[in-house]
Amino acid sequence: LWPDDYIEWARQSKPELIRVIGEALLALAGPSRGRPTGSDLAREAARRAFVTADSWRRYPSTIVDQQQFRRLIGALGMAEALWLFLDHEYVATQIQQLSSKRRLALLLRYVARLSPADAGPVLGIPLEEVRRATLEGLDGLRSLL
Amino acid sequence: MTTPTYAIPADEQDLLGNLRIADKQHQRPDEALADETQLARARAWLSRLLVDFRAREVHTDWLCEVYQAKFRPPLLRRLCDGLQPPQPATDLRFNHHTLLAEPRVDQVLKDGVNVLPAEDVGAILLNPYALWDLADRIDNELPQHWLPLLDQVGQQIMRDWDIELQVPGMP
Repeated sequence: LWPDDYIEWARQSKPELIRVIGEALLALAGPSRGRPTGSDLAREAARRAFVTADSWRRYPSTIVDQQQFRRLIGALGMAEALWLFLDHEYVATQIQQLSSKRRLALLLRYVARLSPADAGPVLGIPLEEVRRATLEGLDGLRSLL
Repeated sequence: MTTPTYAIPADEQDLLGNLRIADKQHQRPDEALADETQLARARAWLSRLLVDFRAREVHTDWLCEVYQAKFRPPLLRRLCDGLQPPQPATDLRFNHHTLLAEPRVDQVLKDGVNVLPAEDVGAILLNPYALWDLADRIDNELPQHWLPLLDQVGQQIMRDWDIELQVPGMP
C-alpha cells in the first residue's frame, strides 16, 4: 500500500486532476471535439496518471508534500491527456495536415515522450527550435479541429 | 458519453446584460455594480469564470454574441514548454481587450478578486483577453488562495461527467 500521506494526497488530488485535464482538452480541441470526448479522455488520462504515481511506491518519501504531489499528478495527467488526444482517431488524421517538422515534433514530444533535447537530434534542429516547432504544431492543430 | 450542457445562470445573465448596457451607454460597466449585492454577485461569477473552463466558455460565447466579435482562447501556459503562449489576435469589436496590469494580476493571484474595484470587475467580465489570461495564470501557478475553489470546481466536473476515479494501490 501507499504511505498514508500519499493516500490522502491522492484522494484530495482527484478533482484538481480532472479539472486540469479538462482545461487542457478544451484548450486543445475547443468545444467541437472537446465536448463529446472530453469526459472519456479525462477519465482515462487521470487513471493512467494514478497508475504511474502508484508505481512510485517503490521510492518512498520522494514526494515531500501535498503541493508537490499535486503538481506531479497534474503533470502526469497532462502528459497522458496529450498522448490520448493525439492518439484520438479524428485528431490523428488532422495531424497529417501539419508540416512534417511540426508533426514530427509533436509526435516525438508527446507520443514518444522525448525531451526537447532528445527530440532535437531526430529532427535535426536545436532545442529551442524543437520547443517552437512543438508549440506551433499544437497551435496549428487547434486551428484544424 | 455526452457532457451536460453548461449555461450561464439566470441571475448572472441579468447582471451581464446590465453590464453590457452600462458599457454601451457610458463606457462604464461598473455603473451596473453600484449596488453591493450586484458587486458581490459579479465578483462571485468572476471567481467562478477564472477556475471553471466550462463557465468561461459559455461566458465567452455570450461576449462574442453581444459584441458580434470573435475570440479564440490562447494555448495554456502549461502546454507551451516554457515559451510565451502565442497571443490571440485582438478583435477590436470587444470594447475591453487589454490585459490586466501585472501588479493587479499578482494581487488577484494572491488574494482573489475581492481586491479588484468595481471598475475592474466590470471591465474584466466584458474582456475575454483579460479573463482567459488571468485564468491561465491561476491554472499555471496554482496560488494558495485559489486551491479550495479549484477543488470545488473539480468535484463538480467529476459529478457532471460521472467520473468515479479509483486510485490503484489504495485500500
